[in-house]
Amino acid sequence: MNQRFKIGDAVVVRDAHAKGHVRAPTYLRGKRGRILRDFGAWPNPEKLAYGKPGWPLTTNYWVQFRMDEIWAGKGNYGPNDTITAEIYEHWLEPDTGAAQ
Amino acid sequence: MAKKSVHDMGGDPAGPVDRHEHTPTLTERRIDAMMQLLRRKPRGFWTTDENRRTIESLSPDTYRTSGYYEKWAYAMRGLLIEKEVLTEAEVGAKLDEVKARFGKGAVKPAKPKSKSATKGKTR
Repeated sequence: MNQRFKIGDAVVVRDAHAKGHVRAPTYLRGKRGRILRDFGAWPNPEKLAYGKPGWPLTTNYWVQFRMDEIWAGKGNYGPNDTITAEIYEHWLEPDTGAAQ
Repeated sequence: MAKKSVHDMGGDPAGPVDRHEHTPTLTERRIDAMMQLLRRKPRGFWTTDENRRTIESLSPDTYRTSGYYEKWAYAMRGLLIEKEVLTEAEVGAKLDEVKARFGKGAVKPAKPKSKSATKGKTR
């Protein structure tokens, strides 16, 4: 079941494998971030990609990740650097372990 | 672990990104115009997401070695046949006709040229 999140909510990208047209890049799966913006509900592009109407609608968010969460020290970035990605709600779960 | 698709390249080793701008070639403009005519109303043969899915389904070699608009051209060919707007035979016959008229090299989109003023500079 899809969930709605609020700005600032701590989330985890689902660490799932899916075939076909998928809108959650592999390098972000299983990574923890926070909701930065809410773009509202849209037809699901992963279904539109196969000629379907895209229901149920799914909310598109900007999710902000700390670079260190993704690259774990490998690479050239500052301690406060972040990366922001568009992730749809059906790829997100609440991060219950995060400090609020 | 499932093997990821060729387009899903975030975090893979890669060289620096070439950020030079270039003026779109005539071929690139034509591919863009054709895509808009086929994808938008009143035709609306497919969605942006179907275009992306088709590009992601190109063979890894084709994906890596083709330019942006070359990928669009391959996707248009695939989707026109998938959506039964044209048949494989019709596309093939037209390509043969064009090749015979202009020679084999003419159907390949021209390589983009960098603006010489910014050549060699990185931001």
